[in-house]
Amino acid sequence: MNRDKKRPPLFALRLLKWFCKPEYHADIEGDLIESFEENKEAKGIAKAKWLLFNDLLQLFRPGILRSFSPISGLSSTGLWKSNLKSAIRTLIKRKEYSIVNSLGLSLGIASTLLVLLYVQDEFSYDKSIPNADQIFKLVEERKTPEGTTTRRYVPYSFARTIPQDFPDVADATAFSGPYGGQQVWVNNEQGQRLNFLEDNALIADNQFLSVFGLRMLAGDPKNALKEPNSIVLTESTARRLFGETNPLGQFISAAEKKSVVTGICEDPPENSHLKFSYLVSSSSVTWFNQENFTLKYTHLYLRLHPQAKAAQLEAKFPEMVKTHMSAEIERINQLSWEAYQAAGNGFTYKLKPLTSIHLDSADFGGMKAGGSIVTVRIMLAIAVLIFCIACVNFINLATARSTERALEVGVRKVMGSHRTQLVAQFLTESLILSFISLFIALGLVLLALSYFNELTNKQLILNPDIISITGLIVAGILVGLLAGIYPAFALSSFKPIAVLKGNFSTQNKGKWLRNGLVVFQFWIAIILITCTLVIQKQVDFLASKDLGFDKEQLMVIEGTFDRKGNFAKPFLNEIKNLPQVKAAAGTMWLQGFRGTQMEDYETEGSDQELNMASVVLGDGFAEVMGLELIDGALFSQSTTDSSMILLNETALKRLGLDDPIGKKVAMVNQEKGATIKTYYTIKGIVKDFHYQSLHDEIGPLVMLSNELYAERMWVIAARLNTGMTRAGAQAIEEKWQTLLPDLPFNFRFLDQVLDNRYKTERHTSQVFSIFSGLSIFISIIGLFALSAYTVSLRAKEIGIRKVVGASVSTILKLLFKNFSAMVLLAFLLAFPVGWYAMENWLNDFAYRIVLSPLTFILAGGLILIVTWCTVGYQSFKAARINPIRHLKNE
Amino acid sequence: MGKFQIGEFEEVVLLTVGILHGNAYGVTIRKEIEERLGRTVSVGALQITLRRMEEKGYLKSNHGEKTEKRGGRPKLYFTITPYGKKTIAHTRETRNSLWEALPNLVLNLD
Repeated sequence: MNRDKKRPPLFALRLLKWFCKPEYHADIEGDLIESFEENKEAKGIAKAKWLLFNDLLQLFRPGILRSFSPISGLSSTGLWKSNLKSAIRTLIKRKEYSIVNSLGLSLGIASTLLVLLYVQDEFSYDKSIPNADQIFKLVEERKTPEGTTTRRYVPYSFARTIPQDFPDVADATAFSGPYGGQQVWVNNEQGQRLNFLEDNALIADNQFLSVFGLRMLAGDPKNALKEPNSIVLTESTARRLFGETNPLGQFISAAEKKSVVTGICEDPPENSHLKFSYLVSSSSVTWFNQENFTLKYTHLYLRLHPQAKAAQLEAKFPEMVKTHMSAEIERINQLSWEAYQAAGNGFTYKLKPLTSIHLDSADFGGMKAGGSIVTVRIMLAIAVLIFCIACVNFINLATARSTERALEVGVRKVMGSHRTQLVAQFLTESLILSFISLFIALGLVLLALSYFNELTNKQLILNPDIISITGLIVAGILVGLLAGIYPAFALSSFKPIAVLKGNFSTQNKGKWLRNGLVVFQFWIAIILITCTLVIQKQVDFLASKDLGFDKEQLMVIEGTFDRKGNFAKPFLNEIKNLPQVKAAAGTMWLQGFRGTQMEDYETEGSDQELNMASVVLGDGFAEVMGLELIDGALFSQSTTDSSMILLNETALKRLGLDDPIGKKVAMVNQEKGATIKTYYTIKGIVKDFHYQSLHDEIGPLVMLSNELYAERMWVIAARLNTGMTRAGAQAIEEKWQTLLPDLPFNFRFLDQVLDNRYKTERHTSQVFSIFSGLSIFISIIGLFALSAYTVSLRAKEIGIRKVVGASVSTILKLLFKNFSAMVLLAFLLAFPVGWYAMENWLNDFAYRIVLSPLTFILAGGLILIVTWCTVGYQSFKAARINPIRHLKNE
Repeated sequence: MGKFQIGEFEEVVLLTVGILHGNAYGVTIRKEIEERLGRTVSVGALQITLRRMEEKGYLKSNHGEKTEKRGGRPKLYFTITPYGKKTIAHTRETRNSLWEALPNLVLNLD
């Protein structure tokens, strides 16, 4: 030990040997050691070591460093040419191998590319809006003793006070909407009236255009929405309404009001959560102009100054709430602000970054269907998995061919090939394959894009910009290296003597890795198949679930009937008498068309308030829908029902009433600081039905009569007789045309509308089916090649077994055993993961299927059968063959 | 003329190899230069200069005995070739002629 310490550090000498030209190495090392010994005597060991390292460092210079290329003197382009040539020759020689390999890989790459396009689009939402990172949406966190809910609507008066109170805020806009089913008409050049039914109308203040930085194609961007009865159209709406005429200054009649077009703005970008067809100036609407901090009807967006911090601003909001809102709340609740807060109530305002709105599960925008970060993650996970399967295939196929390539490696090595050259050659092969696959993948993406767009409801395009092209090239290189590096090193490590002597065997070499990779592939495939099956089952379950009403053959006629009070009732009576119509009724609520409203109720004599969903129905609506009456009676034309209500079973249970019919229930309202109780008499009890989507559980529901609102109706529901769908729709339209020729006739069928609500689930299910199909396909490709290899390895064994008297079935059993074990292992590993993932997904539904192990067994069984078929083909071929063919070479 | 040109450090090394006469190898050359001229020489700089001058033909080398002191590595002795000798002689001549041409005035200035 002691002696060793006094010697020059071994590391230094090794380093020297590594970098120094071999022809100089011996005497330089000698010199260094001699100097070291002398220095050690004279200056001590530490100093000597230091000097040695110093010398060593200074030896790093061009004249001393050895050349690191394997062979000097050959031009490297020649080497590359030779590599390229032999790689292409090998690929052409083994056509089926190359095709199988690049097909698997290109499918993997194509699906990854598609998903990446999708993900990129999801993440690009609202980023194209100028200064997007400075724009925030104000959301309200409403605290009640029961918990906290975050809401998208906030008082519009903050849009005025916030920029005044906080210098950090550059601009603020409040707008309400979107409003659908708006009847709009314009006069064309000939003075003819053209009618339109418009959706997505917003009532917006003058700052709307500047906050979102929307480009104006015509009109004054600063004051377009300033005056009452001004309308700004989007480009596409302007084209729809006015065609080629210049719309600026033209009149539009919307909501029974005549407005003038003061501007045309660009359409909001497709990848934005904003969606509107036209903007009505908020000064046209009375309530918008009165200061109010308790009406929460509007969206409110703030644009901060570039240096402002959102968190700092948020911290000042509690003070703002106190200043502007507390007085009103104190008056309404007859409680001091402090006591109100102490009871667990409160309002807090938060800033939601504009770019985060789209993927937020809370759907703060409310203008289009929001994205889902869960879906994005699922898609990414699937893409990564498929990609892994494809890469695994690549590795497996390459190593599986090692026996075939071993001789080549041996000969090359004998001829003086350096190992790095062999690695380079194999990598060239895999790089060529990966680039070929990349091109095929691009083609596949182009082919599949329109279908994929339909599936995901997007307008994705392949955009050949510099970044994506570089990205693709880098990806191609990465895939080539990733998939090629293990085979390259494995193949180039063969010992030439062993190979050329002929007793070379790779039977156990890399067997664990190969089998592990196959198990991994099966694992992914089984998980994807199970997910597909479970999602499919859940979607079927949702579609076939008894909703408590009959959604078939139900035609829903839309239009703002309330504006034409004297029209709706005659029209309704007319269509009721049509022979094709079984029954019809007007209503102010219908699932999928109009939502419910939450109101507070209490039973007579109790002060326990209960928040229940409320809907307003017309006479006969319950019958048209096929709601089942349990007790009492329904609303009817012959009775006055303005102070009557119907309850569903859940509401009855919650209210805890025994003999409900005729009992009184009060609706509790706060108005102008006073508590108002309106009493209603319970007329009937209706069996629970799904008045919301199946994501939500059935809650307590109160049904009021539209006689309370002078028999207003938003939509008319007409139940058509079976087999008369088309005729019924036609007859109703005729009636409409005769009674109200100047308004557009608009209708939908309830079953279609309701089915649309599970579109996301259906899409997820389709995406899963496609991807799991792909995963199975790619796995089969790999398995096919791998089993061919396994069989070829055991060819001699099979031959001998046959000679000794084994039957075909014994041999098949022998070969199946191995692969079946792998499937089984994969199944056991996939079971918990799949179960966990699906349990999570299903928890989002109030009404869901129960996971059954059978689904998993089905998926595993499917994979097992596929495996048997694939392996069986190869095995059968081997087992049937005359043993002499395998053994004659011995 | 041109082909006899060598650099300053090359000249120093060449002369030192001459001085050491028969005992010139890496360690001794380095030590000699450091002692006589009082300047530090790195192994790297010395080694490439030696190799370069060997390549150019000013020096030649031969392996010496292996000693335990050097970790069993041979010494590489350098000797000046006739061509090397001619070169330093030429260098000296050119220097001298330049010195002679220098007017006394310049030297006495300081």
